Amino acid sequence: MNHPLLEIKNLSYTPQGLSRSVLNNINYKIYPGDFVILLGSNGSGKSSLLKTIDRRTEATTGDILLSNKKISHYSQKEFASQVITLTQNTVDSLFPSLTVLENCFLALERLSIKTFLNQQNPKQFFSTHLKQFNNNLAHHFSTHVSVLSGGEQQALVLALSMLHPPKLLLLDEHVSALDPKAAEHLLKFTAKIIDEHKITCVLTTHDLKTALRFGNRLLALSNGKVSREFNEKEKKALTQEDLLNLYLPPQII
Amino acid sequence: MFTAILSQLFPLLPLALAVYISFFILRATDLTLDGSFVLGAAVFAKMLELNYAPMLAGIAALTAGMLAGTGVALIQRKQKIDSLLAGILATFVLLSVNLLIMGRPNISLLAKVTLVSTGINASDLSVNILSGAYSSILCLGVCLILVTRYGLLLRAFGDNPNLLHRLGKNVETHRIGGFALTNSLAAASGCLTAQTIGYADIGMGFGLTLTALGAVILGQQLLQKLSPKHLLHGIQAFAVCLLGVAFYLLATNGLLRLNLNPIYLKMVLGLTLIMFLRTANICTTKRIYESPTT
Repeated sequence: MNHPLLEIKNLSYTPQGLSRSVLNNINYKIYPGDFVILLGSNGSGKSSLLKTIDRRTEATTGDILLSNKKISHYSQKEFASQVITLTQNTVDSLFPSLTVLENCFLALERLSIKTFLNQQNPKQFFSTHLKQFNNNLAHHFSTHVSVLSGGEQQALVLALSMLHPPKLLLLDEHVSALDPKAAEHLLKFTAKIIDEHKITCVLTTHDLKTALRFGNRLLALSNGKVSREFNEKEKKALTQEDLLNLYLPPQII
Repeated sequence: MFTAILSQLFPLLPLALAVYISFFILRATDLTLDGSFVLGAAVFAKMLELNYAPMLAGIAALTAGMLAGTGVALIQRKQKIDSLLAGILATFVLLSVNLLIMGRPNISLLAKVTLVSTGINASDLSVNILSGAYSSILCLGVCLILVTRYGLLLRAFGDNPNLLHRLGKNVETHRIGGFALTNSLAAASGCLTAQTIGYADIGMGFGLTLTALGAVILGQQLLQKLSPKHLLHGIQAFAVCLLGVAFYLLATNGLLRLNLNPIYLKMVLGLTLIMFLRTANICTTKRIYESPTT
Protein backbone atom coordinates (compact mmCIF):
# COMPACT_ATOMS: atom_id res chain seq x y z
CA MET A 1 0.00 0.00 0.00
CA ASN A 2 1.44 3.37 -0.92
CA HIS A 3 1.57 6.38 1.38
CA PRO A 4 -1.40 8.68 1.61
CA LEU A 5 -1.05 12.05 -0.10
CA LEU A 6 -3.25 13.66 2.49
CA GLU A 7 -3.89 12.43 5.98
CA ILE A 8 -6.46 14.04 8.26
CA LYS A 9 -5.99 13.18 11.90
CA ASN A 10 -8.53 13.89 14.67
CA LEU A 11 -9.46 17.15 13.00
CA SER A 12 -11.83 19.47 14.83
CA TYR A 13 -12.69 23.05 14.13
CA THR A 14 -14.73 25.41 16.26
CA PRO A 15 -14.98 28.96 14.93
CA GLN A 16 -14.44 31.72 17.44
CA GLY A 17 -17.64 32.70 19.17
CA LEU A 18 -19.50 29.55 18.17
CA SER A 19 -20.33 27.00 20.82
CA ARG A 20 -20.74 23.97 18.55
CA SER A 21 -17.91 22.64 16.43
CA VAL A 22 -18.21 22.79 12.66
CA LEU A 23 -15.85 19.85 12.21
CA ASN A 24 -15.75 17.12 14.79
CA ASN A 25 -12.95 14.61 15.10
CA ILE A 26 -12.49 13.79 11.43
CA ASN A 27 -10.05 11.06 10.39
CA TYR A 28 -9.49 10.29 6.73
CA LYS A 29 -6.73 9.35 4.30
CA ILE A 30 -6.56 10.30 0.66
CA TYR A 31 -4.19 8.35 -1.60
CA PRO A 32 -2.51 9.55 -4.80
CA GLY A 33 -4.93 9.32 -7.69
CA ASP A 34 -8.04 9.30 -5.52
CA PHE A 35 -11.09 11.24 -6.60
CA VAL A 36 -13.06 11.70 -3.41
CA ILE A 37 -16.64 12.92 -3.46
CA LEU A 38 -17.50 14.86 -0.34
CA LEU A 39 -21.23 14.70 0.16
CA GLY A 40 -23.31 16.52 2.71
CA SER A 41 -26.16 18.97 3.16
CA ASN A 42 -25.71 22.68 3.74
CA GLY A 43 -23.87 23.31 6.96
CA SER A 44 -22.54 19.76 7.19
CA GLY A 45 -18.97 21.04 7.18
CA LYS A 46 -17.92 20.22 3.59
CA SER A 47 -16.62 23.65 2.78
CA SER A 48 -15.05 24.07 6.20
CA LEU A 49 -13.15 20.84 5.71
CA LEU A 50 -11.81 21.99 2.35
CA LYS A 51 -10.91 25.38 3.78
CA THR A 52 -8.97 23.73 6.58
CA ILE A 53 -7.13 21.48 4.13
CA ASP A 54 -6.33 24.54 2.04
CA ARG A 55 -5.09 26.52 5.09
CA ARG A 56 -7.74 29.18 4.69
CA THR A 57 -8.95 28.36 8.19
CA GLU A 58 -6.91 26.88 10.97
CA ALA A 59 -8.04 23.72 12.74
CA THR A 60 -8.74 24.00 16.46
CA THR A 61 -7.26 20.57 17.17
CA GLY A 62 -5.84 17.77 15.06
CA ASP A 63 -3.41 17.62 12.18
CA ILE A 64 -3.44 17.55 8.41
CA LEU A 65 -0.44 16.01 6.69
CA LEU A 66 0.38 16.55 3.03
CA SER A 67 2.96 14.03 1.80
CA ASN A 68 3.71 13.19 5.44
CA LYS A 69 4.44 16.79 6.38
CA LYS A 70 2.14 19.05 8.39
CA ILE A 71 0.48 21.57 6.10
CA SER A 72 1.39 24.37 8.50
CA HIS A 73 5.07 23.56 7.94
CA TYR A 74 4.95 24.38 4.23
CA SER A 75 5.86 27.86 3.04
CA GLN A 76 3.00 29.59 1.25
CA LYS A 77 4.88 29.29 -2.04
CA GLU A 78 5.51 25.55 -1.66
CA PHE A 79 1.93 25.01 -0.61
CA ALA A 80 0.51 27.10 -3.44
CA SER A 81 2.26 24.99 -6.05
CA GLN A 82 0.79 21.76 -4.62
CA VAL A 83 -2.75 22.52 -3.51
CA ILE A 84 -5.31 24.51 -5.45
CA THR A 85 -8.94 25.19 -4.60
CA LEU A 86 -11.61 26.14 -7.08
CA THR A 87 -14.77 27.62 -5.63
CA GLN A 88 -17.98 28.86 -7.19
CA ASN A 89 -16.76 32.39 -6.55
CA THR A 90 -14.18 33.13 -9.24
CA VAL A 91 -13.03 36.23 -7.33
CA ASP A 92 -11.27 33.73 -5.06
CA SER A 93 -9.04 32.67 -7.93
CA LEU A 94 -8.81 35.60 -10.36
CA PHE A 95 -7.81 39.25 -10.40
CA PRO A 96 -11.08 40.69 -11.71
CA SER A 97 -9.92 44.10 -12.87
CA LEU A 98 -6.83 42.81 -14.62
CA THR A 99 -6.82 41.39 -18.13
CA VAL A 100 -6.79 37.73 -19.12
CA LEU A 101 -3.13 37.94 -20.14
CA GLU A 102 -2.14 39.65 -16.88
CA ASN A 103 -3.93 36.93 -14.96
CA CYS A 104 -1.95 34.35 -16.92
CA PHE A 105 1.33 36.00 -15.97
CA LEU A 106 0.30 36.25 -12.33
CA ALA A 107 -0.69 32.59 -12.24
CA LEU A 108 2.92 31.80 -13.04
CA GLU A 109 4.01 33.54 -9.85
CA ARG A 110 2.85 30.40 -8.12
CA LEU A 111 5.71 28.55 -9.78
CA SER A 112 9.36 29.31 -10.08
CA ILE A 113 9.86 32.03 -12.64
CA LYS A 114 12.35 29.88 -14.57
CA THR A 115 9.62 27.72 -16.03
CA PHE A 116 8.25 30.82 -17.64
CA LEU A 117 11.57 32.18 -18.87
CA ASN A 118 12.06 29.01 -20.85
CA GLN A 119 9.07 29.90 -22.95
CA GLN A 120 10.18 31.67 -26.10
CA ASN A 121 6.92 33.39 -26.73
CA PRO A 122 4.71 33.54 -23.63
CA LYS A 123 1.69 34.88 -25.49
CA GLN A 124 1.78 32.00 -27.96
CA PHE A 125 2.22 29.55 -25.09
CA PHE A 126 -0.75 30.96 -23.16
CA SER A 127 -2.85 31.04 -26.30
CA THR A 128 -2.38 27.34 -27.06
CA HIS A 129 -2.89 26.49 -23.40
CA LEU A 130 -6.12 28.49 -23.05
CA LYS A 131 -7.53 27.08 -26.29
CA GLN A 132 -7.67 23.64 -24.72
CA PHE A 133 -10.08 24.99 -22.14
CA ASN A 134 -12.15 27.56 -23.97
CA ASN A 135 -11.77 28.79 -27.51
CA ASN A 136 -12.93 32.30 -26.68
CA LEU A 137 -10.35 32.98 -24.01
CA ALA A 138 -7.35 33.11 -26.33
CA HIS A 139 -9.04 35.87 -28.35
CA HIS A 140 -9.65 37.96 -25.26
CA PHE A 141 -6.15 38.48 -23.94
CA SER A 142 -6.66 42.17 -23.29
CA THR A 143 -10.20 41.83 -21.93
CA HIS A 144 -10.74 42.49 -18.26
CA VAL A 145 -11.64 39.30 -16.49
CA SER A 146 -14.67 40.87 -14.79
CA VAL A 147 -16.48 41.23 -18.13
CA LEU A 148 -16.10 37.58 -19.11
CA SER A 149 -19.10 35.33 -18.61
CA GLY A 150 -19.29 33.08 -15.57
CA GLY A 151 -18.50 30.01 -17.66
CA GLU A 152 -15.51 31.68 -19.29
CA GLN A 153 -14.22 32.82 -15.90
CA GLN A 154 -14.43 29.29 -14.49
CA ALA A 155 -12.74 27.89 -17.60
CA LEU A 156 -9.98 30.46 -17.11
CA VAL A 157 -9.58 29.52 -13.45
CA LEU A 158 -9.27 25.87 -14.43
CA ALA A 159 -6.83 26.68 -17.24
CA LEU A 160 -4.64 28.77 -14.95
CA SER A 161 -4.52 26.09 -12.29
CA MET A 162 -3.45 23.58 -14.94
CA LEU A 163 -0.47 25.66 -16.09
CA HIS A 164 1.27 23.45 -13.60
CA PRO A 165 -1.09 20.71 -12.38
CA PRO A 166 -1.24 20.64 -8.57
CA LYS A 167 -0.84 17.49 -6.52
CA LEU A 168 -4.16 18.05 -4.84
CA LEU A 169 -7.14 19.78 -6.40
CA LEU A 170 -10.01 20.83 -4.16
CA LEU A 171 -13.27 21.56 -5.95
CA ASP A 172 -15.71 23.37 -3.70
CA GLU A 173 -18.89 23.26 -5.80
CA HIS A 174 -17.05 25.22 -8.46
CA VAL A 175 -19.79 24.81 -11.05
CA SER A 176 -22.80 25.59 -8.91
CA ALA A 177 -23.05 29.24 -9.98
CA LEU A 178 -23.34 28.29 -13.65
CA ASP A 179 -26.41 27.41 -15.70
CA PRO A 180 -27.09 23.64 -15.92
CA LYS A 181 -25.63 23.23 -19.40
CA ALA A 182 -22.43 25.16 -18.68
CA ALA A 183 -22.12 23.43 -15.32
CA GLU A 184 -22.43 19.99 -16.90
CA HIS A 185 -19.88 20.88 -19.57
CA LEU A 186 -17.35 22.25 -17.09
CA LEU A 187 -17.80 19.35 -14.70
CA LYS A 188 -17.20 16.80 -17.44
CA PHE A 189 -14.25 18.75 -18.65
CA THR A 190 -12.78 19.03 -15.15
CA ALA A 191 -13.13 15.27 -14.71
CA LYS A 192 -11.35 14.72 -18.01
CA ILE A 193 -8.46 17.00 -17.02
CA ILE A 194 -8.15 15.32 -13.64
CA ASP A 195 -8.02 11.96 -15.34
CA GLU A 196 -5.46 13.09 -17.92
CA HIS A 197 -3.08 14.57 -15.40
CA LYS A 198 -3.73 11.93 -12.72
CA ILE A 199 -4.52 14.61 -10.17
CA THR A 200 -5.75 13.68 -6.72
CA CYS A 201 -9.00 15.49 -6.20
CA VAL A 202 -11.73 16.20 -3.67
CA LEU A 203 -15.08 17.38 -4.99
CA THR A 204 -17.83 18.66 -2.72
CA THR A 205 -21.37 18.45 -3.92
CA HIS A 206 -24.91 18.07 -2.70
CA ASP A 207 -26.06 16.84 -6.05
CA LEU A 208 -26.65 13.09 -5.84
CA LYS A 209 -26.25 12.45 -9.57
CA THR A 210 -22.86 14.13 -9.56
CA ALA A 211 -21.88 12.13 -6.52
CA LEU A 212 -22.71 8.88 -8.32
CA ARG A 213 -21.18 9.74 -11.68
CA PHE A 214 -17.76 10.93 -10.56
CA GLY A 215 -15.10 9.80 -8.19
CA ASN A 216 -13.84 6.53 -6.84
CA ARG A 217 -14.52 7.11 -3.15
CA LEU A 218 -17.21 8.86 -1.21
CA LEU A 219 -17.21 10.56 2.16
CA ALA A 220 -20.48 11.69 3.67
CA LEU A 221 -20.48 14.40 6.33
CA SER A 222 -23.27 15.40 8.59
CA ASN A 223 -23.10 17.87 11.44
CA GLY A 224 -19.35 18.07 11.11
CA LYS A 225 -18.81 14.34 11.56
CA VAL A 226 -18.06 11.59 9.09
CA SER A 227 -21.41 9.85 8.79
CA ARG A 228 -20.47 7.24 6.14
CA GLU A 229 -17.45 6.21 4.09
CA PHE A 230 -17.53 4.21 0.88
CA ASN A 231 -14.57 2.67 -0.91
CA GLU A 232 -14.37 2.16 -4.64
CA LYS A 233 -16.27 -1.10 -4.69
CA GLU A 234 -18.99 0.09 -2.33
CA LYS A 235 -19.36 3.36 -4.18
CA LYS A 236 -19.98 1.57 -7.49
CA ALA A 237 -22.84 -0.34 -5.94
CA LEU A 238 -24.52 2.77 -4.57
CA THR A 239 -27.84 3.97 -5.88
CA GLN A 240 -29.43 7.36 -5.67
CA GLU A 241 -31.78 6.07 -3.02
CA ASP A 242 -28.90 4.95 -0.81
CA LEU A 243 -27.51 8.43 -0.98
CA LEU A 244 -30.83 10.04 -0.25
CA ASN A 245 -30.99 8.04 2.94
CA LEU A 246 -27.72 9.63 4.01
CA TYR A 247 -29.48 12.95 3.98
CA LEU A 248 -32.20 11.95 6.44
CA PRO A 249 -31.85 13.72 9.74
CA PRO A 250 -29.76 11.39 11.91
CA GLN A 251 -31.98 11.51 14.93
CA ILE A 252 -34.23 14.09 16.42
CA ILE A 253 -33.99 14.14 20.15
CA MET B 1 -1.20 83.08 -16.72
CA PHE B 2 0.61 80.46 -18.76
CA THR B 3 3.83 80.70 -16.73
CA ALA B 4 1.81 80.71 -13.52
CA ILE B 5 0.21 77.42 -14.53
CA LEU B 6 3.53 75.99 -15.66
CA SER B 7 5.21 76.86 -12.39
CA GLN B 8 2.49 75.01 -10.46
CA LEU B 9 2.04 72.12 -12.88
CA PHE B 10 5.38 70.40 -12.59
CA PRO B 11 5.75 70.46 -8.79
CA LEU B 12 2.26 68.98 -8.47
CA LEU B 13 2.72 66.24 -11.06
CA PRO B 14 4.47 63.72 -8.75
CA LEU B 15 1.71 64.20 -6.16
CA ALA B 16 -0.95 63.53 -8.80
CA LEU B 17 0.88 60.36 -9.82
CA ALA B 18 1.11 59.34 -6.16
CA VAL B 19 -2.64 59.82 -5.80
CA TYR B 20 -3.28 57.92 -9.04
CA ILE B 21 -1.20 54.97 -7.86
CA SER B 22 -2.63 54.86 -4.37
CA PHE B 23 -6.28 55.25 -5.37
CA PHE B 24 -6.43 53.35 -8.65
CA ILE B 25 -3.65 50.81 -8.36
CA LEU B 26 -3.23 50.08 -4.67
CA ARG B 27 -6.94 50.91 -4.10
CA ALA B 28 -6.15 52.57 -0.81
CA THR B 29 -7.47 55.87 0.46
CA ASP B 30 -4.10 57.19 1.55
CA LEU B 31 -4.40 60.62 3.13
CA THR B 32 -0.82 60.38 4.42
CA LEU B 33 0.21 61.97 1.14
CA ASP B 34 -0.76 65.35 2.65
CA GLY B 35 1.72 64.80 5.45
CA SER B 36 4.43 63.34 3.23
CA PHE B 37 4.16 66.36 0.94
CA VAL B 38 5.04 68.65 3.85
CA LEU B 39 7.62 66.16 5.11
CA GLY B 40 9.49 66.36 1.80
CA ALA B 41 9.48 70.15 1.92
CA ALA B 42 10.46 70.20 5.60
CA VAL B 43 13.39 67.83 5.26
CA PHE B 44 14.66 69.63 2.17
CA ALA B 45 14.40 73.10 3.73
CA LYS B 46 15.98 72.08 7.01
CA MET B 47 18.92 70.41 5.29
CA LEU B 48 19.54 73.45 3.12
CA GLU B 49 19.43 75.55 6.26
CA LEU B 50 22.09 73.28 7.73
CA ASN B 51 24.12 73.93 4.56
CA TYR B 52 23.92 70.48 3.00
CA ALA B 53 24.15 70.19 -0.78
CA PRO B 54 20.74 70.60 -2.50
CA MET B 55 21.05 67.24 -4.26
CA LEU B 56 21.68 65.49 -0.97
CA ALA B 57 18.75 67.31 0.60
CA GLY B 58 16.54 66.21 -2.27
CA ILE B 59 17.52 62.58 -1.83
CA ALA B 60 16.92 62.88 1.92
CA ALA B 61 13.45 64.29 1.23
CA LEU B 62 12.58 61.32 -1.00
CA THR B 63 13.91 58.90 1.61
CA ALA B 64 11.85 60.57 4.31
CA GLY B 65 8.76 60.11 2.16
CA MET B 66 9.63 56.45 1.69
CA LEU B 67 9.95 56.01 5.45
CA ALA B 68 6.59 57.69 6.01
CA GLY B 69 5.05 55.31 3.45
CA THR B 70 6.63 52.32 5.12
CA GLY B 71 5.22 53.55 8.43
CA VAL B 72 1.67 53.90 7.15
CA ALA B 73 1.89 50.47 5.51
CA LEU B 74 3.02 48.97 8.80
CA ILE B 75 0.10 50.58 10.62
CA GLN B 76 -2.26 48.75 8.25
CA ARG B 77 -0.39 45.46 8.46
CA LYS B 78 -2.65 42.39 8.19
CA GLN B 79 -5.61 44.69 7.48
CA LYS B 80 -5.89 45.43 11.19
CA ILE B 81 -6.49 49.14 10.57
CA ASP B 82 -8.29 50.47 7.51
CA SER B 83 -6.14 52.45 5.06
CA LEU B 84 -8.25 55.58 5.48
CA LEU B 85 -7.87 55.54 9.25
CA ALA B 86 -4.18 54.65 9.03
CA GLY B 87 -3.67 57.63 6.73
CA ILE B 88 -5.41 60.00 9.10
CA LEU B 89 -3.38 58.68 12.04
CA ALA B 90 -0.13 58.94 10.11
CA THR B 91 -0.90 62.52 9.02
CA PHE B 92 -1.63 63.31 12.65
CA VAL B 93 1.76 61.98 13.70
CA LEU B 94 3.52 63.63 10.75
CA LEU B 95 2.21 67.05 11.83
CA SER B 96 4.40 66.80 14.94
CA VAL B 97 7.28 65.20 13.06
CA ASN B 98 7.28 67.97 10.47
CA LEU B 99 7.29 70.67 13.17
CA LEU B 100 10.12 68.86 14.96
CA ILE B 101 12.17 68.74 11.76
CA MET B 102 11.60 72.36 10.81
CA GLY B 103 11.79 73.71 14.35
CA ARG B 104 9.35 76.47 13.40
CA PRO B 105 6.26 76.73 11.19
CA ASN B 106 8.11 77.93 8.09
CA ILE B 107 11.56 78.16 6.56
CA SER B 108 12.41 80.53 3.73
CA LEU B 109 14.50 79.23 0.85
CA LEU B 110 14.68 82.47 -1.11
CA ALA B 111 18.31 83.17 -0.24
CA LYS B 112 19.41 79.57 -0.79
CA VAL B 113 20.80 77.77 -3.79
CA THR B 114 18.26 75.05 -4.55
CA LEU B 115 17.92 72.35 -7.15
CA VAL B 116 15.90 74.60 -9.42
CA SER B 117 17.86 77.81 -9.05
CA THR B 118 20.87 77.94 -11.28
CA GLY B 119 22.67 79.78 -8.53
CA ILE B 120 23.59 82.87 -10.49
CA ASN B 121 20.53 84.16 -12.17
CA ALA B 122 17.32 82.34 -11.35
CA SER B 123 14.75 83.48 -13.87
CA ASP B 124 11.20 82.16 -13.88
CA LEU B 125 11.87 80.28 -17.07
CA SER B 126 14.94 78.42 -15.84
CA VAL B 127 13.13 77.50 -12.61
CA ASN B 128 10.26 76.08 -14.64
CA ILE B 129 12.51 74.20 -16.99
CA LEU B 130 14.49 72.66 -14.16
CA SER B 131 11.51 71.74 -12.00
CA GLY B 132 9.84 70.37 -15.12
CA ALA B 133 12.87 68.23 -15.86
CA TYR B 134 13.10 66.81 -12.34
CA SER B 135 9.40 66.14 -12.09
CA SER B 136 9.10 64.57 -15.55
CA ILE B 137 12.12 62.33 -15.10
CA LEU B 138 10.82 61.14 -11.74
CA CYS B 139 7.27 60.55 -12.97
CA LEU B 140 8.32 58.81 -16.16
CA GLY B 141 10.66 56.61 -14.16
CA VAL B 142 7.81 55.57 -11.88
CA CYS B 143 5.53 55.02 -14.88
CA LEU B 144 8.18 52.70 -16.29
CA ILE B 145 8.06 50.70 -13.05
CA LEU B 146 4.32 50.34 -13.55
CA VAL B 147 4.74 48.40 -16.79
CA THR B 148 7.23 45.94 -15.30
CA ARG B 149 6.49 42.70 -13.49
CA TYR B 150 6.70 44.62 -10.21
CA GLY B 151 4.06 47.04 -11.45
CA LEU B 152 1.82 44.11 -12.33
CA LEU B 153 2.28 42.70 -8.83
CA LEU B 154 1.34 46.08 -7.34
CA ARG B 155 -1.84 46.12 -9.40
CA ALA B 156 -2.54 42.54 -8.34
CA PHE B 157 -2.06 43.61 -4.73
CA GLY B 158 -4.62 46.38 -5.14
CA ASP B 159 -7.08 44.15 -6.97
CA ASN B 160 -7.06 41.01 -4.85
CA PRO B 161 -4.55 40.88 -1.98
CA ASN B 162 -5.95 37.57 -0.72
CA LEU B 163 -5.24 35.85 -4.00
CA LEU B 164 -1.76 37.37 -4.13
CA HIS B 165 -1.11 35.80 -0.75
CA ARG B 166 -2.42 32.47 -2.00
CA LEU B 167 0.00 32.63 -4.91
CA GLY B 168 2.77 32.55 -2.35
CA LYS B 169 3.66 36.24 -2.46
CA ASN B 170 4.32 38.32 0.60
CA VAL B 171 1.45 40.80 0.63
CA GLU B 172 3.02 43.04 3.25
CA THR B 173 6.19 43.71 1.25
CA HIS B 174 4.06 44.78 -1.68
CA ARG B 175 2.00 46.99 0.60
CA ILE B 176 5.17 48.60 1.94
CA GLY B 177 6.66 48.92 -1.54
CA GLY B 178 3.54 50.56 -2.90
CA PHE B 179 3.09 53.01 -0.08
CA ALA B 180 6.80 53.88 0.03
CA LEU B 181 6.61 54.64 -3.69
CA THR B 182 3.57 56.90 -3.44
CA ASN B 183 4.75 58.73 -0.35
CA SER B 184 8.18 59.42 -1.76
CA LEU B 185 6.48 60.85 -4.85
CA ALA B 186 4.43 63.09 -2.56
CA ALA B 187 7.61 64.14 -0.75
CA ALA B 188 9.23 64.94 -4.10
CA SER B 189 6.24 67.09 -4.89
CA GLY B 190 6.56 68.96 -1.59
CA CYS B 191 10.27 69.39 -2.13
CA LEU B 192 9.79 70.86 -5.62
CA THR B 193 6.92 73.07 -4.47
CA ALA B 194 8.99 74.52 -1.64
CA GLN B 195 11.71 75.39 -4.13
CA THR B 196 9.43 77.06 -6.65
CA ILE B 197 7.48 79.11 -4.10
CA GLY B 198 10.60 79.82 -2.03
CA TYR B 199 9.62 78.47 1.37
CA ALA B 200 8.47 75.39 3.28
CA ASP B 201 5.40 75.82 5.43
CA ILE B 202 3.83 73.44 7.93
CA GLY B 203 0.34 73.96 6.44
CA MET B 204 1.29 73.73 2.77
CA GLY B 205 -0.09 70.20 2.31
CA PHE B 206 -3.55 70.78 3.69
CA GLY B 207 -6.22 69.21 1.47
CA LEU B 208 -3.78 68.58 -1.35
CA THR B 209 -4.46 64.85 -1.62
CA LEU B 210 -8.14 65.47 -2.23
CA THR B 211 -7.35 68.27 -4.67
CA ALA B 212 -5.00 65.97 -6.54
CA LEU B 213 -7.61 63.22 -6.52
CA GLY B 214 -10.05 65.65 -8.11
CA ALA B 215 -7.46 66.51 -10.74
CA VAL B 216 -6.70 62.86 -11.44
CA ILE B 217 -10.37 61.99 -11.87
CA LEU B 218 -10.78 64.94 -14.23
CA GLY B 219 -7.74 63.72 -16.12
CA GLN B 220 -9.20 60.25 -16.41
CA GLN B 221 -12.43 61.60 -17.86
CA LEU B 222 -10.57 63.83 -20.28
CA LEU B 223 -8.35 61.01 -21.45
CA GLN B 224 -11.33 58.76 -22.01
CA LYS B 225 -12.89 61.45 -24.22
CA LEU B 226 -9.68 62.13 -26.10
CA SER B 227 -8.50 58.58 -26.58
CA PRO B 228 -11.01 55.87 -25.76
CA LYS B 229 -8.51 53.23 -26.80
CA HIS B 230 -6.74 51.39 -24.05
CA LEU B 231 -3.25 52.75 -23.54
CA LEU B 232 -0.31 51.00 -22.02
CA HIS B 233 -0.64 51.28 -18.27
CA GLY B 234 2.38 53.47 -17.54
CA ILE B 235 1.63 55.90 -20.37
CA GLN B 236 -1.97 56.11 -19.29
CA ALA B 237 -1.00 56.99 -15.71
CA PHE B 238 1.30 59.75 -16.90
CA ALA B 239 -1.21 61.14 -19.38
CA VAL B 240 -4.03 61.13 -16.84
CA CYS B 241 -1.95 63.02 -14.27
CA LEU B 242 -0.61 65.56 -16.73
CA LEU B 243 -4.01 66.27 -18.27
CA GLY B 244 -5.75 66.36 -14.89
CA VAL B 245 -3.35 68.73 -13.17
CA ALA B 246 -3.14 70.99 -16.22
CA PHE B 247 -6.91 71.21 -16.48
CA TYR B 248 -7.30 71.78 -12.76
CA LEU B 249 -4.76 74.61 -12.74
CA LEU B 250 -6.31 76.12 -15.85
CA ALA B 251 -9.68 76.14 -14.09
CA THR B 252 -8.42 77.63 -10.80
CA ASN B 253 -6.28 80.26 -12.46
CA GLY B 254 -9.09 81.05 -14.85
CA LEU B 255 -11.58 81.47 -12.04
CA LEU B 256 -9.22 83.75 -10.14
CA ARG B 257 -8.76 85.81 -13.29
CA LEU B 258 -12.52 86.23 -13.47
CA ASN B 259 -12.18 87.99 -10.12
CA LEU B 260 -13.81 85.20 -8.20
CA ASN B 261 -13.30 85.72 -4.48
CA PRO B 262 -10.72 83.06 -3.52
CA ILE B 263 -12.95 82.11 -0.58
CA TYR B 264 -15.36 80.48 -3.04
CA LEU B 265 -12.68 78.77 -5.07
CA LYS B 266 -12.64 75.34 -3.44
CA MET B 267 -16.43 75.32 -3.15
CA VAL B 268 -16.95 76.06 -6.82
CA LEU B 269 -14.36 73.46 -7.81
CA GLY B 270 -15.79 70.90 -5.42
CA LEU B 271 -19.31 71.37 -6.78
CA THR B 272 -18.05 71.20 -10.36
CA LEU B 273 -16.24 68.00 -9.54
CA ILE B 274 -19.35 66.47 -7.98
CA MET B 275 -21.38 67.31 -11.07
CA PHE B 276 -18.66 65.95 -13.28
CA LEU B 277 -18.56 62.68 -11.36
CA ARG B 278 -22.34 62.30 -11.26
CA THR B 279 -22.66 62.63 -15.02
CA ALA B 280 -19.60 60.53 -15.77
CA ASN B 281 -20.97 57.83 -13.47
CA ILE B 282 -17.66 56.32 -12.50
CA CYS B 283 -17.10 54.44 -9.33
CA THR B 284 -13.53 53.60 -8.52
CA THR B 285 -13.86 50.34 -6.68
CA LYS B 286 -17.30 48.86 -7.28
CA ARG B 287 -17.30 49.08 -11.03
CA ILE B 288 -15.16 46.02 -11.44
CA TYR B 289 -17.72 43.72 -9.87
CA GLU B 290 -20.57 44.83 -12.11
CA SER B 291 -21.40 42.69 -15.03
CA PRO B 292 -22.06 44.54 -18.27
CA THR B 293 -25.78 45.23 -18.59
CA THR B 294 -25.85 45.75 -22.32
